[in-house]
Amino acid sequence: MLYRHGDVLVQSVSEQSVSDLPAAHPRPGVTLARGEVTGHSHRFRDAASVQLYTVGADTYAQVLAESAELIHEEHATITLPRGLYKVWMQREYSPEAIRRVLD
Amino acid sequence: MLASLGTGSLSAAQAKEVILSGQVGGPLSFRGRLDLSGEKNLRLPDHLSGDTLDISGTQLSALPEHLQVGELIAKNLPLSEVPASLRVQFRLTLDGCARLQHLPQNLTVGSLSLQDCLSLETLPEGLNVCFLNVSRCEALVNWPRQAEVRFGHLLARDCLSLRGLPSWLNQLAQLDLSGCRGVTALPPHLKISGWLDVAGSGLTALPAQRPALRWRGVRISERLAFEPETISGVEIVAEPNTEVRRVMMERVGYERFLDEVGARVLDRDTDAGGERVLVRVELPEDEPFVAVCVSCPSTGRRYTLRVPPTITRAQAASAWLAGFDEPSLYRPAVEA
Repeated sequence: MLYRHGDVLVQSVSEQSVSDLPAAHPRPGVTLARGEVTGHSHRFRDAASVQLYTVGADTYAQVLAESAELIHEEHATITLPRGLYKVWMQREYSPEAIRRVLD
Repeated sequence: MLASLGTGSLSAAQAKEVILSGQVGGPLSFRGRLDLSGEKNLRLPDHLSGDTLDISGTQLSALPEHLQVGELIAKNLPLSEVPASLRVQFRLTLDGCARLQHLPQNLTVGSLSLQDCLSLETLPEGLNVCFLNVSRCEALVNWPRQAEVRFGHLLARDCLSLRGLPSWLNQLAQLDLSGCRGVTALPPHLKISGWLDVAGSGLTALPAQRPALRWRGVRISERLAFEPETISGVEIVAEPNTEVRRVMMERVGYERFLDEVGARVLDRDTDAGGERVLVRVELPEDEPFVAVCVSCPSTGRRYTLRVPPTITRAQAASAWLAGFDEPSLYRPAVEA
């Protein structure tokens, strides 16, 4: 099941628990992403209902309660049932040929 | 056998063998570059010293006491803090240590890189460095009352919580504030001898000292940085430098650019936010500009987002933006 919360994508994964993910480390807080322009954030309403994890460069959210509410100042709330979710941000395209000044 | 090698130093290869045997006690000294990156179940002795040590991706959750090296590369570790006894002379790299919350007071090192340390809210009092990289430290909000970045670089790309720069910042060669929306002014006495990157920052005018400007690495003019409303779509298409042209499009806004140059509609359909349109603009000596125009289902606000020029369907554009190269796999059940 895939959820879109603005530019944040949340997908339930087949693993039922974070213990199924090797090298998962707890990440403090309940914020998935902060908005660059507004300072608003995609976050869970109740800190006790969810634990975030990092697995390498990936982020996972384990919903510990029956459900957890994903909130944002401007987006409608999304309710996620208990389970494990992979979280990522929408990507942007820019031409690969673009050279960046690296010095 | 417990290898306790108090005097003399080992080559990096010898030191690696001894450490991986798991039977080492400190002190231990090595020469050259000791690469232990990716080693599982790594244990390091206290009083380890040497030239360059790489322990990236080892799952170490704590550094040993009295570690003393020229360079320490410790990327992507689950560290929450760094011991006060750590001594690094030249370069300390802690990129991607997402749990890191505390650094020791008076930390002194030539170059300190803390990129992607997502939990770091503050830097230590008395920090003393020449080069500091805090890019994408999204939680970083507090600067120390007293610290120094001595004449070098301060790279603070996408520090979304920052609301300003400290007054002790006097002279820098390079300052990257791209994406720091909350930074709206520079310290009045700050001198920048090289360049200032202002892309997406809160700065709305060039500081009095007038350093060279960049927009995420691209050299740009003051007009492009701070007066984008004076730039026309025709001017953008005529710009010969593709890097500058891309920045011009970003500054003017894709919506106005498309309005002014006239875009060809490739596809249109409907998603959770309403009408979704895929458009294309040909650019001289460059790949075409292809973008999808969508509405947010919660706010109704319109967004125009650039996608790869190979995309021909609006749904495939949304799928690509969401991270799916195969459009049929993108089927969001809930959108808000």
